[in-house]
Amino acid sequence: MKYSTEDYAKALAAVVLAAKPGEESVIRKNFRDLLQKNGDEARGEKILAMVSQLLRREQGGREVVFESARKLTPAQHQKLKRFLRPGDEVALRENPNLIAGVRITTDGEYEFDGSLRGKLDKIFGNI
Amino acid sequence: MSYEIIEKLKQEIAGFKDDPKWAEIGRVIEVGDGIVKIIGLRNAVSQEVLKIETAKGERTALALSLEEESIGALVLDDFLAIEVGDTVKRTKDILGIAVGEELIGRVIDPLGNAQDGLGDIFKKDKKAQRNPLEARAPSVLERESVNAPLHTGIKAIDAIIPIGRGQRELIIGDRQTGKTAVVLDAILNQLHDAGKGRKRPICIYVAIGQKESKIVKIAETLKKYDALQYSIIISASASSPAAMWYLAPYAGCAIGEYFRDKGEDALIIYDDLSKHAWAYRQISLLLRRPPGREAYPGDIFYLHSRLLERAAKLSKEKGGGSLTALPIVETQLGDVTAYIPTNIISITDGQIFLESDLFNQGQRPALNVGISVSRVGSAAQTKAMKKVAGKLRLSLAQFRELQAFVQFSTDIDEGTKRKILQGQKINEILKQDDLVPVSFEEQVCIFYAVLNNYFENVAVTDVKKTEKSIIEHLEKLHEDDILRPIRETGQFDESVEAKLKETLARFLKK
Repeated sequence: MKYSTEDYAKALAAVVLAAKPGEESVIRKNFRDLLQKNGDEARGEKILAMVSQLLRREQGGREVVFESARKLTPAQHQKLKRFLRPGDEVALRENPNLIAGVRITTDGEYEFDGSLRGKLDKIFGNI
Repeated sequence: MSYEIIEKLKQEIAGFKDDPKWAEIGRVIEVGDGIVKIIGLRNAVSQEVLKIETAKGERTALALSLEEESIGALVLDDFLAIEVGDTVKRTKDILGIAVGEELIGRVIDPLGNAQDGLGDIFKKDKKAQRNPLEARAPSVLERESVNAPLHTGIKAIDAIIPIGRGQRELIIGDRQTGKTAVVLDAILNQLHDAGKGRKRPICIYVAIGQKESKIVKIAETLKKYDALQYSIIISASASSPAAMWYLAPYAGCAIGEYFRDKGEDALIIYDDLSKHAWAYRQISLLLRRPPGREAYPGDIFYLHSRLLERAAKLSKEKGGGSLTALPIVETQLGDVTAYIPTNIISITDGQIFLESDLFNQGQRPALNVGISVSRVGSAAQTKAMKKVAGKLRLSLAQFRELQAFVQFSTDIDEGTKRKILQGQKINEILKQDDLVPVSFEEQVCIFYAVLNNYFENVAVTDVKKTEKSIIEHLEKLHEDDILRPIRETGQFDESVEAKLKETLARFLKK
């Protein structure tokens, strides 16, 4: 039977959460062996990314990406912090394509587009 | 032009109110020939319209395959602009098409965009009704039996294989056997065919994978014969992507349903569903759905059954409208046992079989009366036609049997000779030129004449000529006392019969 990436990730996340201190290396080795046995090594990276997402979610955190056209000033940075929850992992990226404003993405699944590029696209889309 | 654009921009900027909200997003992970795979968008639903943000602007896609880890979507416009990593957003809209009276007389693509160069279909300030492309077929309680005829103007069909309003009748045959000609005649015939229980139906011609030149020719023909005033053409030409071929029948059906649900009658022609099946096979294989027989996906039957089930005669409570479907299927070397032909034969309420051999022998329409059937149409046939053409199928069958038999014998009796001669004359009567539909009341008179031996003294070679002159005579001198009563009442009562007898006797004695 072929396991999906999500199945692997859910199982590994559950094991990691239930693990006692010192068991990490055993879990790592067993998981590597399992992937090898099933011929699924190519999906390892994807599974691990999903596991870290699951673990983050379990702890109430998200992967938050702030994209801005220019480098954010400390004041702007402070302003953006009100979007964050405890446990969130934050990444800051510069994207001159946005022209101005900011775009926030959480877990790669939700987006808040406050950029000028987004507004212009909407205006031109209506014409 | 540039002034207009600047003015529009000004208006947009002045009235622009932005209210940015959190939106669900996905990412393109694979781009194929007209399809994309997307991760994310966990809440997207099947048949939802998705927007892909590319470097060259927004592109539209249709969510088709909802898988465990990804979504397979069909790109509805230029897929070459899409790149891996592009952001995809939901619209929460199910794919639909704008419908309304404004579509009549127009040529559109399956997404509802005008293709005839006559400008916008709907006025900008009017919000048109949108019908979903995929809709539920009417339930048993919402329907009633087919009870009104849909005359095609083709003698062989109206007399032997009658079609009723709300019926699904398959037209099947090899290439170049006159399938499109049959449906064109059916459209043209609607111009004058109105009477008791027969309103003029709106005719929708769906061209799937046809050459552009053929579609233009059809549009011109309809225009020339004044039939475009009640017709709509949906064009998914050979050069358009498989997505358009796949969507075209559903778009046509959604438009047909608009008229059906308004209590009107509509006729929809799918030309042809073999190409529709090819397009769906291509899409399914690209989406890596498991192939089955002839590499078609497992749901190919459902693809056509759910489409054809939407053709129906609605009950009076639902407005009494109807949608009649004439799907066309092209066979290869007359093989009706192939996958798609057998599927559609089993879905429809009968089939009109056109044969290459008959076509080459000069029998046009090249209709094989023996294996063509109409399962529900006879219930809808007018009393006049039923009374006159009731014994036509039997006479033809007897003639075919005798004809086969006499090929091996030299000595045949007078009775057999007479029957063969009459059969040959019936065959001549059933021949008909393209684009010359014969009205139902004229058909009644001609069949009455040939089946009651009024052509006895006419040579087989002169039958067509005589038929033409009888029709001309009836049109000129007997419109009020013979043709109109039959057309308007659908009956062939004794007084009309007596008049026709007298006229035929007098005319053919000359």
